[in-house]
Amino acid sequence: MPARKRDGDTGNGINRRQYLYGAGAAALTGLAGCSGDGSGGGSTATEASDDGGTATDSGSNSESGGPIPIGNLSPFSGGLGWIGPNSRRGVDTALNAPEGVNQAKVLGRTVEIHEQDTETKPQSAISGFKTLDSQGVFSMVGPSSSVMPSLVGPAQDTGLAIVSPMTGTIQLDEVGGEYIWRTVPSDGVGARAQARYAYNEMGHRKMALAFKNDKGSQSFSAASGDYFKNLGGEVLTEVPLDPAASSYRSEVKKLQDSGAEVVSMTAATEVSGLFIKNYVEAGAEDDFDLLLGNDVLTEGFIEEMGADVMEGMVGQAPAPGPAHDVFLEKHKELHGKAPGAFAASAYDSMVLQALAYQKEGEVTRDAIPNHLYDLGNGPGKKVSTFAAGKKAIENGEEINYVGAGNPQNFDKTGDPLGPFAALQATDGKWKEVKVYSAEDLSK
Amino acid sequence: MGYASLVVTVAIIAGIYSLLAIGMNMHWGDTGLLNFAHAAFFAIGAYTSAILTTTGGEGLLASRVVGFEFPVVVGLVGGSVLAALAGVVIAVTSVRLEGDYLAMVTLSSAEMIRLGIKNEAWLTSGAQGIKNIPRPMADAFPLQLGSVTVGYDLFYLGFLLVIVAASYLAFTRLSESPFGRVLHAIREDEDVPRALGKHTDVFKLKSFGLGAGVAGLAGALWAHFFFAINPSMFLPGLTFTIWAAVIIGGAGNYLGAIAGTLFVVLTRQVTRFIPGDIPMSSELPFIRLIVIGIALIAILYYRPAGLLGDEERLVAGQMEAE
Repeated sequence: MPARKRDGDTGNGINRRQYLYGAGAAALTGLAGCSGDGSGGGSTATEASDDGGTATDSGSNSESGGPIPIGNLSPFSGGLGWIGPNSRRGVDTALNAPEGVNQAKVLGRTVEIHEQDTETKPQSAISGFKTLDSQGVFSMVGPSSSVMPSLVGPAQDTGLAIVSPMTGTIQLDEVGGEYIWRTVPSDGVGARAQARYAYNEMGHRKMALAFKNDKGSQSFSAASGDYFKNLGGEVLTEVPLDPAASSYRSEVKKLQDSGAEVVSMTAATEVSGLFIKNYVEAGAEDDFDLLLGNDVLTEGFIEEMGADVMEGMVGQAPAPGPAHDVFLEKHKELHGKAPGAFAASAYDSMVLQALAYQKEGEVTRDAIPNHLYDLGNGPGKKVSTFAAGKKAIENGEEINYVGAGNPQNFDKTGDPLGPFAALQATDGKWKEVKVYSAEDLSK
Repeated sequence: MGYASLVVTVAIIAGIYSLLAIGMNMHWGDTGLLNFAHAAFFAIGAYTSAILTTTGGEGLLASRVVGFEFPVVVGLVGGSVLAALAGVVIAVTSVRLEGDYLAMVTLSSAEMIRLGIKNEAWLTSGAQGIKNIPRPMADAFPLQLGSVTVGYDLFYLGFLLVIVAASYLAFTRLSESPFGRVLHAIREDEDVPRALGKHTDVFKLKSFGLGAGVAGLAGALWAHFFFAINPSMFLPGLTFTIWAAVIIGGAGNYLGAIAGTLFVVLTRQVTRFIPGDIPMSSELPFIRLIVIGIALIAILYYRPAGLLGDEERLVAGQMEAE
């Protein structure tokens, strides 16, 4: 039997007390790491400014300062990890393309992006938000529906505005307009377009809902069913789709048995792909039509599933904003490929934030609540680039920003209301078959 | 302001995770039970307290019909008690199992509970989660004490530290008591306390219940600080994070469990400050996770017993075999 060690001896010749001192020192070092000036922490390199100066964390910032720190709190890993890179490229296009923010400069300064990963989890999103707050960002491009409700309180407490290009949840329909904004329409608006198309154009009266069992998909699905009922239709059943399931045969069977004429199926690509495969295998095309969510409205998805399988299926997406074509060209030029989902909204989010600082005349956290509504709604000169907007503001004109992802006409709770298009898969491409105006969808 | 707020928030997360680690240390460190259901106990505490202190849902996504508006203290107690009961129920079905088998049963039980929370929307709001969870004494803050303003977060941190300290003292005393010595004997060789007439199954049930109860308390404290909860917060990854904390800190040592938690939480936070202008910066989210993984491997390589663990405990089984 080995000799007993003295109490407190942790082995390896280190006394427990010594070890605690060491651990304490390490913890303090870690905290000191947190309390640096934060200027480079977690930031992506953007065009540097020649000006000196540092940002303060909550007050205003003079015109002679260095780069303006703006956050990008997005899902770069986890379940929605595929969206973050799209957002990053959209923001980068807003900053670095011709007539972009860093070329024209906001009050003579460039913008530096500080990225934080939400990991698609509320805990990590809160840590990321607080980290950006500590780094002194003045506003941020925001996260997805899955974490946004946890950030409403912190945003209001800190006065740090979030302008999200990817939060569709109807939970935010009545929240925002000060520190919570979004440049993508509420699911409630897209769902109206879907329900109207099913009821008016396809002539269906019996609908069933199938949705990936997560916050965003359920939100869209519930809104679609509710509006379909308001139009006079009937919702027969609701079927959640477990994202981890290896088959949806039983769910398809349940939908077939429900007697529905049309099924609103809202899910991202993986769940949608498996569902459609099981739908075709079961011969369910003879029983009900399928309406898809906007995550799968890419030509890549049609290619993956097969053009013949997808032929005739319908989805809906925000009709591109007036500046979409220009954005598309800029994005391709900078990144060598077409923008992914939510990239255009991220572009709009960044340009709008920059214009808000320009209009405020100084860099302060109050710029977003003070100006975002007016910048989106006009009346004023219509602009679609930061350079054009800056020039108009400097000339003393009012401006109305018309975006790439959406016209960005905000309501009082910070949600844009824009046109939606119904798209049908035709010969391997998504073809626009009906456009609903914002006025149509607001009724 | 921003840094202070960040430090306080990180400290609150570390404090709540410390409670989880204390519960896990009772299971694994003291009793040798391979519990992989900790995230479920945390979830039960959070949901119970949220349901007890909020009304049912409103609006289009409101599928929850159950809700109360009891004071927060009722939620905290209710969350702890129900989590403890859940721990005992899981243990009743599986307490005779050992090692890998117990791990499998607890892991699958945790997933059943999480999926139940996600699907039983009438009770839990399902995937939409519960929001607008009240904070205790929120109206009293910010509090002006002379020239000093005390914010709510700082108050909550103080409140939490008192609970962590009380839990640490209580569990340390338990561990050193005759009850704790029986648990240690079960951990080392269950036949020995049985030969001495101890009903080891009952002791294991108590251990499970106590550890789950403090995990439930942690969940309730989490819900009341972070306003909103949803099922994605309670994935098995959370259990593995707490396991990592206990193992890094040194299983069997409650101070070690807290130190391990601090290490894990601080490592995750500090790596958020990795500059973005490094090569492959677009892969930074994954680089962060790699850095954390390397740090864990390094610690376990150089200190297999953990930061404050007892090496004798680590080799106890092997010494007996020899």
